Amino acid sequence: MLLTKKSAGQVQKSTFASTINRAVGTVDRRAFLKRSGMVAGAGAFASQLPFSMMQKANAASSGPMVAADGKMEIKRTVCTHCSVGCAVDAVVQNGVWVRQEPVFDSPLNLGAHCAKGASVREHGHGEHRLKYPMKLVNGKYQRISWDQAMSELTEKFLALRKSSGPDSVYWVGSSKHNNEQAYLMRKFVSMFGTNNTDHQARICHSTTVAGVANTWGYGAMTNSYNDMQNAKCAMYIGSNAAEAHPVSMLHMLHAKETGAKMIVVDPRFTRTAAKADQFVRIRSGSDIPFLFGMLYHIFNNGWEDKKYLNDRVFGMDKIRDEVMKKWNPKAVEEACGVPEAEVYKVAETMAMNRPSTVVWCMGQTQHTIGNAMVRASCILQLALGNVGVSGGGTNIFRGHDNVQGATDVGPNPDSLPGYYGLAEGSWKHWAKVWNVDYDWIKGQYASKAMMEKPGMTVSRWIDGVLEKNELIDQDSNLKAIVYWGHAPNSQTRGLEMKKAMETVELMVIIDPYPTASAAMPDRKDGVYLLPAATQFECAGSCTASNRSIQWREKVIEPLFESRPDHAIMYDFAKRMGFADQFVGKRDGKQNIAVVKVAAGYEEPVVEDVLREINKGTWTIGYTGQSPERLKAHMRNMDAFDVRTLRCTKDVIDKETGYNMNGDYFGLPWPCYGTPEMKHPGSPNLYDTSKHVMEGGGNFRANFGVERDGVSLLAEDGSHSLGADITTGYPEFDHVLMKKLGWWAELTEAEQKAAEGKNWKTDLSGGIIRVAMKNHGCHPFGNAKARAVVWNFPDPVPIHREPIYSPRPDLVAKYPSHDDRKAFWRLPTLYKSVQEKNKDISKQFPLILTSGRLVEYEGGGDETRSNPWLAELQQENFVEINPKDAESRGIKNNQFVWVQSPTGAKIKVKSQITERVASGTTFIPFHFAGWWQGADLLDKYPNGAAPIVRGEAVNTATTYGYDSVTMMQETKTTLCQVVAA
Amino acid sequence: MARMKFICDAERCIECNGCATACKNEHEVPWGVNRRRLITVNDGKPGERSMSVACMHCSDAPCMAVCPVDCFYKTEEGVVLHDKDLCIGCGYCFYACPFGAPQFPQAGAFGLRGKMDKCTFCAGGPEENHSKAEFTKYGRNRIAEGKLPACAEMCSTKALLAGDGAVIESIYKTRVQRRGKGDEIWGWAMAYKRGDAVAAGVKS
Amino acid sequence: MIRRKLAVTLIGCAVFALAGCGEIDQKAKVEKVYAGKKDTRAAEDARFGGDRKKWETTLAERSKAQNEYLRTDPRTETK
Repeated sequence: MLLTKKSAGQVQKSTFASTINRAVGTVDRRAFLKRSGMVAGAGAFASQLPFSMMQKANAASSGPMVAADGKMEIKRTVCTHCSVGCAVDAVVQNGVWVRQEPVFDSPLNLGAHCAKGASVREHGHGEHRLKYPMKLVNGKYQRISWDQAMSELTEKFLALRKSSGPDSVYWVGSSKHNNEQAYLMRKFVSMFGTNNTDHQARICHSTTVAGVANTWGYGAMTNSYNDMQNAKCAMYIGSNAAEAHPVSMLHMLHAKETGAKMIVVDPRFTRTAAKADQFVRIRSGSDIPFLFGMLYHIFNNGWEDKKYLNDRVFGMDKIRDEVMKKWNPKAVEEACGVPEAEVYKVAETMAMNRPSTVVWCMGQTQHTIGNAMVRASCILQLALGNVGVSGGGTNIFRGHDNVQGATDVGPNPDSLPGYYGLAEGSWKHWAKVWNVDYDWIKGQYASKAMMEKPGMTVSRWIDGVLEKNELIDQDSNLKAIVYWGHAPNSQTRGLEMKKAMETVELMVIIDPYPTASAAMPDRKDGVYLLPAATQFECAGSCTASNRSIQWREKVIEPLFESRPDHAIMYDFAKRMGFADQFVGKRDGKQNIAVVKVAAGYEEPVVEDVLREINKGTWTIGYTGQSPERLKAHMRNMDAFDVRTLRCTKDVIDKETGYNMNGDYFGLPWPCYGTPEMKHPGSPNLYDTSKHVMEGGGNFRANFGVERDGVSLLAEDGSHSLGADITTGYPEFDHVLMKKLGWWAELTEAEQKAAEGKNWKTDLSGGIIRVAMKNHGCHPFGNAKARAVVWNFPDPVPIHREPIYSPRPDLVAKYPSHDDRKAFWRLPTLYKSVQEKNKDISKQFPLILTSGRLVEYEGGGDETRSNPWLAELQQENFVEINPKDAESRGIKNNQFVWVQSPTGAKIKVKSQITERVASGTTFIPFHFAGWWQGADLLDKYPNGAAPIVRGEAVNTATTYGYDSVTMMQETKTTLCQVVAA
Repeated sequence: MARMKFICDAERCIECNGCATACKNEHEVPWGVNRRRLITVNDGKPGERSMSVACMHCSDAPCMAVCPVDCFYKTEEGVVLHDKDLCIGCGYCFYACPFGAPQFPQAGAFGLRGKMDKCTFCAGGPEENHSKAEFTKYGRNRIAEGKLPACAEMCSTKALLAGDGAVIESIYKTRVQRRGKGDEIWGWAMAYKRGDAVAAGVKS
Repeated sequence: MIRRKLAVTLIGCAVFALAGCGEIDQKAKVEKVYAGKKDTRAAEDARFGGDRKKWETTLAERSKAQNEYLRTDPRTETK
């Protein structure tokens, strides 16, 4: 089989690998593999560690080899690197994580892992972790004790609170926290007295959450990764699932084998595109023209689902007018660069192969008009009647393992857990659940007004520091920044971020790794680093993208001196004097027990925290997922069907005796009512073909009952299967219950609790029980989805050019929004910046877009510290088209400077490839640790720098924020590339 | 009689490196030694396909044929293994191997080639099963545990299949039949009509 | 031309992989005798105690996890 034959006396070097390398003109990313057998010529001769050192000198153990005496335990956990929720069995011996086995039983991933998932055991080594609390003294990090760190920090926080008010501290929380920690984080900052908190969802899917929730009710993926197996066609627009959600491709490629069509729409020919039946290249930021271009053909050919639109959708006529008037094929081609025939083919494929689904990710969300783009996708799916249908839906892939959960119950600046908002009623609801006095919380805030005013966003905290004080909508500028499980290099405008980091009085980084925050600023003091435990070092629940909630067991004890986030929160609460409120201890009652662990610190009991979440989060059905039910699911994963996620036979959990029959895996929210009501969870949202007690539903009545004289409720006959009310109906409250004559069905105790309440605030769950169980009705009502969202800046989605556009002609035609004065407490600019930079493309002619690599996650501090992953991607790079490279005299794999309109320049390797079209460049966003050409190694704490460091793309990114959610515009900006 | 084989289904492989990382994890393979790696053709262009490559455990293994110290052996199941105690690190096997499978870690102060290392099909080597010596020299012995190679078991899209040739062939066949295509990747059409047959599926 | 060479190599590789699926003679054509230490056979492992059948069955059972059709589409028949 050796194709290159050996001739006598001559050994040919043409191995398979080197043949390939020579044959391919441009070098692929793996060619960056250094010191490995991959590099042609260099052969397989490694110049690193001798093999005898293969067995890792383990910081926490005597080595991973199985000793005869050790007790072996299997701990079931979930990968922490994306939202698919891949289960992992960790083999633990004598407290050391010695092996990792696939969990074939998991219905979500069937044992499969990408590079990140296959590497999670490395967390048990953690050689590059932040090992103990540290403090910056004279520009160097010094080790300090936990007690010193906590008491100094408490003193500083309280002093700031006193001198500048509670809003002077910004708390960046995390989507890496489990649900319980994320929830406690929101509770903690509330008790500190501020809404200045946020997490990664702001910069990943905030526009989706807002756009989708305002269209039909809930801000989440409607179906599931698994359900894509039931699709007959899938269109990925702005999603590179093969790299960002690799295991989701198992379901998609399976679907493809059984006949589904796959379409990828993207500015890049991604690895996902390589698997597609049709690839369409659009100009970055032109999603609305493309989607409306599709709708043009759909309306033109009568492919829309007319009955569905009549019964279940409001305002499609307005969309139709806009589409037919503005987005004829010529206008579409001008804006997004796609010829009519291609757009037509996509529309036809989606229409002729129903149910069809749409997948989107950051490619749609990260724009100044992200909220409008995602709604255009929703509108497409509504027009095709694809929402609320198995195999259809909008499959919005979230990024972090618990970004959905942190969005649902975590630290959001504009809402208390469960999207309750910040109104007085919401506060009173949660005060009751928390077992604290409402007035006490109010007293912690600067004022009632500040208590009910959304805080700043993580994308803009730097402006909270740098903006003129008279222009911000709070008393003091930000004086302290706390990065609690969040990287800095995922946010834009690096130059200004560095300045903000140097301006604040105090920086606190609480994280398993020091992160780039520790190294970025040039400071001499005022920085504290606290080592947090990873999710493998604590137990808790996390919500996958499909809303399934999985319980992680604690795999190992926290390494080194690290502590779990919720223990650190409790410690702060205690030192700040609100420990009792934090755990709901009052009147002889205590919601959350606290235990002292062997390492000497106190920790709130995670199960109790989940029970408190269950007790309060009625809006989105986080109430039925008791720890007991979740744990039973984790122990019996094989009971659930891969295609439907449902358990359809009697399966009794041995430990609890719980019968899973009827449940969907992980009780995907909404799982309404009390755990005792045994709602099975909702696999696909808004699905009228099922009874509400079987996971069925309909669109939510959340926007009133009529608009401009037109009813917003669903038409007669359109309702979830078996509902007693066969017309549209509003959400349930005590008045409606009484009107319907159902009030008597509540027990006496329920009646007492539900009096004066609605289904969201009735802590007994009685209203929900009677509506759902007795009458098959949906507690949130039965209404139409909104194609027109009148409370958004553009009720009908309107294409607007990015702030930094390569097309001055189109800026004139499709200008950005007007500037705004106080938006999330900050002045926010649109038109003025766009106008000023209208001709900037003369100097910076290339579109700069960013995205993920399969090996790394997010800011990458964790994954770039993992040698098994770091070896695979050792340098940051810019993808540039051969034409653009040639005209700039750039050769492949050489250093280049990427220059930005902000004046920033970053040094990365060139990767010449047709993956990007001429005029577009791409840089992955996981890198940090270099600053405009210089390695910051010396600025990290000793031994805690990531193995791979590189230039962060966001050092070079520009201004621009979504007009609803403050999402940053990273997917379209401009740059110039020159040889270094 | 089981005959151990790998197949990589290029229609499914998404070059996620799960296999390469699973291998690193299971055997604690050091930096610079890559028992398994990904090869991509037409990177960034229509027709892009990836394949995971490691030792293919050849029926007629060229490494065995050229080894001057005869350190290679083949198990009953067709897995090609070698004795590191015997290996002299000469590198002949590397030159003979069509897949670039043999890897040579550096040994000693002068950067000399160490003893050859390669994929063992997770079958360990000629030391007592599950002993420290076996793990240190060859990695874990999953086969003796009744498990399959970690790379294939963890493959993100189940592109990489490992196990008894007959079993994995039948899994692969099911997919090809389901797709009603996929053969062409491997067939003469692709070889003689260049990438057109492949590109037929992906138009830009 | 380059592409063709490449394709041939790829096919070669695939055919190589598949070739093993038939019952081809597994003996090396070059007469070589292994000079190293004797290895324990997998089925001789403590957990199988020399019961080759049991080992093969365990492995075959484990192989099924690679075929998701067995769980997603019960109609599919595989050996």
